[in-house]
Amino acid sequence: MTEPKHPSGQTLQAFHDRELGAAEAAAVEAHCERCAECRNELAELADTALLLAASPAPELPASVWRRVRPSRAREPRFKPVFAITAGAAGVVLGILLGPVRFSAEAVDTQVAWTETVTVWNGGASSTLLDVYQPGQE
Amino acid sequence: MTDRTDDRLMTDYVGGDESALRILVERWERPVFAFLVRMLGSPEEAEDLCQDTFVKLIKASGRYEPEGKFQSWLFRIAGNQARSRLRRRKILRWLPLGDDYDHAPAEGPDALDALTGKETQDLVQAAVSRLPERQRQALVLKQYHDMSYMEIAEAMGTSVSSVQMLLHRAMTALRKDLGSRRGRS
Repeated sequence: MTEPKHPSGQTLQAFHDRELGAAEAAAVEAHCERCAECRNELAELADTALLLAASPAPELPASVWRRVRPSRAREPRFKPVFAITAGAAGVVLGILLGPVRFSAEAVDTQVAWTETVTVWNGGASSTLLDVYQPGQE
Repeated sequence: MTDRTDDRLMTDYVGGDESALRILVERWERPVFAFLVRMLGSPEEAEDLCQDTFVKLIKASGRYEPEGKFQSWLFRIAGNQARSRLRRRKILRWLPLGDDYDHAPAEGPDALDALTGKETQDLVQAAVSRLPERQRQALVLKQYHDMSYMEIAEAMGTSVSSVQMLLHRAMTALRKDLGSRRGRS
């Protein structure tokens, strides 16, 4: 009885990688028990795989998460520019509207101060209130 | 919560849970980086493309189908990145070890025995980098990421039989390049 032909190199590779179906794997295994050439072929495949496995995985220097996180990407990148523009606009408006604003602020400040003191001191601070009432300075 | 599957994490992220994406990135950034280093030979380029891979993942996340194939999907993105970079560089074979090494194939079964572990690793890495691009991709996914032929086929957009052929050719070329440590009887 003649020996069946050798499995192809691809089949031996798939056998080594445990990718064959059960029946085909059993046939290759049975063949290799009788065939020194195919046994050696498998041994060389295993040796090469071992050499490859001995190469350590390259180390990632730093996590990439900080650079890919979507919330960071969603942050408006024009923010500093916007802040500078808004600041400059505020300065211009301040120059143009300054006198009006200062007058209004003076009145507001007096009212606010009075209200604050009234709340803070309750009814027991009438002397203090009298001192700071507008028009009594 | 880190025991969530990749599919679960992708679904949660698409639903608005950014922490799910962070877990995915931290789970997979090292394997993706290692794959890219082995494909490109350059840690610096690999780091950039690792970042780009996850950015592309984020952009494509809405189209992901949670069918248990996240690894193949991710490595397909990374593989496309690597091959695009290789095309751009117009380099099919990368020689990472400079001129100090003889790139001629090692001869004889004992050629590797005289080398130290580090030299052997460098020689093996150089041999891998000399493989044609698709053979290298299939080999790296199989040997270093333990992916099945089916998963590799999905990651490379090809058939299982094609993967089998690529791996056989890659291993044959490597054995020829490195020499065999065991003589035939």
